[in-house]
This record gives sequence, structure tokens and C-alpha cells, in this order.
Amino acid sequence: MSCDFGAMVDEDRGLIDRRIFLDTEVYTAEMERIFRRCWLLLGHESELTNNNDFFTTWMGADPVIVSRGVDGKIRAFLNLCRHRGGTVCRVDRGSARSFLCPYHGWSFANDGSLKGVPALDVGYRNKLELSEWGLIEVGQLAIYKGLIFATWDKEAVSLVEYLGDMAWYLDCMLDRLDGGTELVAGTRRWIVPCNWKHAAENFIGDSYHGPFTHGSVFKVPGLGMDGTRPMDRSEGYQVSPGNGHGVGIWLAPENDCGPGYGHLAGVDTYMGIVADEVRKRLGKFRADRVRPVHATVFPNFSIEFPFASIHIWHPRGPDRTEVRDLTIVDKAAPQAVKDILRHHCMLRQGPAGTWEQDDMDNWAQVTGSASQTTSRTLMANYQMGRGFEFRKESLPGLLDNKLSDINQRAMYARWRELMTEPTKGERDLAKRAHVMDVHPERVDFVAHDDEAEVG
Amino acid sequence: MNTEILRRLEVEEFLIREAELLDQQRYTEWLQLLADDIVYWAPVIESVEDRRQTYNRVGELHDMAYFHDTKKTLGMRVERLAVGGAWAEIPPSRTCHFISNVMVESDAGFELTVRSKFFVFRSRLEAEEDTYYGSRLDVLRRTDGQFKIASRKIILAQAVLKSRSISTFF
Repeated sequence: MSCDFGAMVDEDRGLIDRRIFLDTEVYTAEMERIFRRCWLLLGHESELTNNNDFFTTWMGADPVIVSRGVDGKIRAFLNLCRHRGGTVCRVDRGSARSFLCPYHGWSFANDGSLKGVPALDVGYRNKLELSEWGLIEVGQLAIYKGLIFATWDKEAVSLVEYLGDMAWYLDCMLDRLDGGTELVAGTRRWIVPCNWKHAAENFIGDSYHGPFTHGSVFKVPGLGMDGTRPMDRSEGYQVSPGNGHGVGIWLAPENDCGPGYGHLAGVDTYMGIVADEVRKRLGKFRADRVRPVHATVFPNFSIEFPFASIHIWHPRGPDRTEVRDLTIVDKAAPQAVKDILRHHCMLRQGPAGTWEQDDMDNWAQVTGSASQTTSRTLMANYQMGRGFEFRKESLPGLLDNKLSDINQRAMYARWRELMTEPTKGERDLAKRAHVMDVHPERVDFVAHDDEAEVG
Repeated sequence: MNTEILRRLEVEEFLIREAELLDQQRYTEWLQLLADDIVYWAPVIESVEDRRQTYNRVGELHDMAYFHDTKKTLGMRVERLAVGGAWAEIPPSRTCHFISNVMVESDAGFELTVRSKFFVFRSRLEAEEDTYYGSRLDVLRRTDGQFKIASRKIILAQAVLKSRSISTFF
């Protein structure tokens, strides 16, 4: 390793070497060490209502197909023909029992198995073992309350363990009502010329930028957060629930904690109507008072509440991020409420959102400046609130006040852990080196073991 | 034939003047060209495969769109650009709205259905460049001897938008 990733993040001092945002070596290692090991959000179960439904997306730099098989089971595969590496599915979504590589016509069933190879007899003389050349399936796939996640790592901890205490906050949007949530049709995608981490860190805990970056919306009635309950009466916290995740919440005051956020009239009425059921599921405290505002589930799944505008930050190079934007709502909500939320998200979020459009130049510039000669020598400051973290019995995780870099520090600490923790390949190499050192007579056996494993 | 050419010229003239207002960022005047009940929206486009057929699916009215505005929310967007702190336009972008391929699809007298293509270049900051292109389907309404835009559907041709933001209008 020529680049010392461990030295690039010093969360104790709140300093980050800005080369982590633009150096190709860092990026390449991230794809392997972070995006091939973490649980990544693929989409929502309601995108695959019927058997044979599928959609395509990314896991880090790997294109994937997510499909509900003929048997109703959801699986995810690398969107890659095992023959020469062609793309077996070229569309965004749809319904298909099989996927056909346009190059030489290899076809794969939606359970991943290789079904058809042209000229199998005259070309391959029937010597091709079809079962060895199926689509590459993800290491694990799991669904958490409607959200489909996957990881390439067969040995990764379970999704529930990975989410940890973050699930307690995610449930505020995912587990409010019987039937859960559903996706609003229409996936917005756009490319921001920034490093994926700059987007993820903005959503994980950056309340600080709100009044400045988004200064304009607070001056236009209807665009800001103005409503029946002013936000400055609420306590605000950044919460770091562990594993590099982070969420910003308001804690509505006990004596003024009506349902909802107070700035969406129709939605608050609806939330009042369903409040009892939500209390039954989430408990009175969480239902009435805990209001998540923004969050990032490590590494690249971010949320803007209420209900939610979900952003998945797909890395497409050190300085390019493709945003995949999904909007989810309570499935049981009346259409009128879904419409209010949809319009709320469209007016604020997305490339044309009155809030979000002002973020992108900032992210592009903080990424871009990491290429500048002098700038590269200067550490970035993540010191806000350092040493003032605290715990609160009612809220899982480590906390600080609303204005703090606590979550960003936790995110980069997790980044450093993963970037320096050896991968399985490196562990095997180290094991072999050790055996060569201590038991030179066993090297042949170790090499043989490795081959068996790869095969 | 003559009437058709004259009508197309009249429509083209209107659309070109409208585009000029956008390039000059004279948004208050632009708003005056919009009918009070305007539906102004830009659905997303996704490629779909179904029963072995592939096609591009354009979002419907109840789907998520890049924007889906009324005159009121367009007014809020315009006001926001003027109040200070709308950083996607500080300093202001330099845009060129090219409008072409104007076709009057139908003319019911009171309202006309018009298709056109747009190509918008946005130059930002020093050398940042974004391009937006696609088709529009307008309903133009004749009101007091002039056109008002009664609805506009904007179909951006890019499935993944290659621009960081949309801070102009189409």
C-alpha cells in the first residue's frame, strides 16, 4: 500500500487530508474496501411488485440487476455477461424472465443461471459447463422493512446488525403503519461533479450549512420550514448511532408535540389521524417527539425527511457522483397526502429543487479544490463539537447539539477502519507469508487450498 | 397553406421571444406569459423492457418529476432567485435557449397544441458547462390577441441528467 489511508483521517483531532476526495488510488481502494464490503441500498420492494419485475442500479462501481424471480424471490446480480463482459440488461426497469447479452447471445434466467449459449454444440462441442458460467450473485441480500439491501461480502454481519441503532431512527419513516411504505414511481437521476463522500457527509450531519447554503428558501413563504411549530423551539441533535451512520433529529417539546413537522398542513392533519397507530408501533415518545430530518446510512444512502426523499450516491469516479433519487410514502396514506408529499419533494429536492440546487456547486468546489497544489497540503476542518459529545437515555447513540461535526467524524472514522482493515485477499496473502516463514514445507498445501477456494 | 405558415411564424415568434426573456433572466416578465392555471412539468424518462419490447417510458402526472409547478410555485421559484442567497445562480449563469422544430399540432381556435425542441446551454462560474435538451409539448391559449402558455410538458431526453442542477426554466 503506497498510500497510507490510516493517516489521512484523524477523527480525534477533527482533521481530514483532502486528498481522500480526489486521489485515484484512494477511490480505487474505496470501491474494493468499502463498496464491496458494506451493505448498500438497492431500492424498494415495491419496485418489484410482480414476479419477473426487475430494475438496474449500481453497487459502488459495479452495475447490478435486481430481479424478482419466477419463484418470487428477490435476487441481485452483476449486470455482466460471464463470456466477454457484455452488459446483459441495458434498460432501467421492466419485466423479464431472462436477460440476453446482445454481443454473442448468451442468455441468463432471472435466477442467474446460464440457459442459452449459441453454438454450444458446433462451437463448444458441448464442453462448456453451463452451471459454472451463471451471473455473479451478490454475497448477501436482505430486506429491511421494504428497503432492499445487498453486500458483495458473504462474511459481512447481518443487515440488522449492520444498521444497529440506526434502525431505531429509520423506523420513524419505515415502520409507522401497517403495510409500511411504497415508492412513488419515477426515479430521478443526475450527475454531480463531486466526490460521493461530500454528498454523504452533507446529509449525515451538516445542519451548519442550512441557513447559509439554503438562505434563500427561508425568505420565501412556503419554501422554508415555516409552519405551525417553529423549529427553533425544538431541541435539535446530531446522533451518531454507530457503524459510521448518522442522523439529525428534532426533539419536539413535550408540551407542543403535535404530529408531524408543523410545516405541511395537510400532512400534519393526516399524521394526527394515524397518530395512535404510529404510537402503537413506535411507542409514544418516538411517535410524538422524535423527528428525523436528515441522515446517511454508511456509506452512500442518504435521506431527507419527512417520509422521505432517498438519495443513493453512486460513485462514478473520484469527482463524479450519480444521484439516484427515490421518494417513499406511507402505503396506506390517502392519494391526496401522497400528492402533497410528492410536490413537497419536487419543489425542494432533486436537481431543480429549490433547496438542493444550491448544494451542488458547493460539493463540486470542495471536491475540485482537492486537486489544487496548495489546497492539497491543507487539512479540512471537522472539529465542531469535538469533545462535547454526550449520551441521552431516551435516544440511542452518541449525541451532540444540532450544530456539530460529530456524525461526519464518525463517518470518516468508519471509513478509516474499512480502508485499513485487510480484505480477505490480503488476509490470505498474509496467512501464506506467515506459513512460508514458519512452515516452509507447507507452502504447497496453502497454495493448493487457495486454488480450491477460488475455484 | 399561407395561413398555416403565418400561424407557425406567429407561434415561433412568441416562443423565441419567450426564450430571450429566460436568457436575459427577466423572469417577472416571463411569468406574465403564463396562464394562471398553467401546469408546467418535466417528467423523468426511463428505459423499460416488457414482453421483450423495449421503449422509453415518460413519467405520468402522478409520478415524481424534475419539477411539477403551478403558477404559484413558479412565482416562488422566481422570487427565490431575487431574494439573495440562491447560490445556484450566484453569480448568475449565462444561458442560451435554442428553440426549434416548432410544429403546430392542432388549433382549436381558443387553444393550440404546439411541439418544439429545445437545446439549452448553461455556462456557469468560469468554465462549468451544462447542456439540457429535449422536446416540449405546449398548449398555447389565445388571450386578448396574444398567447399565454396554458400548459407545458418538458421531456428532457437524458435518462440520467448530466447536469448538477436545474436553475433555469425551459
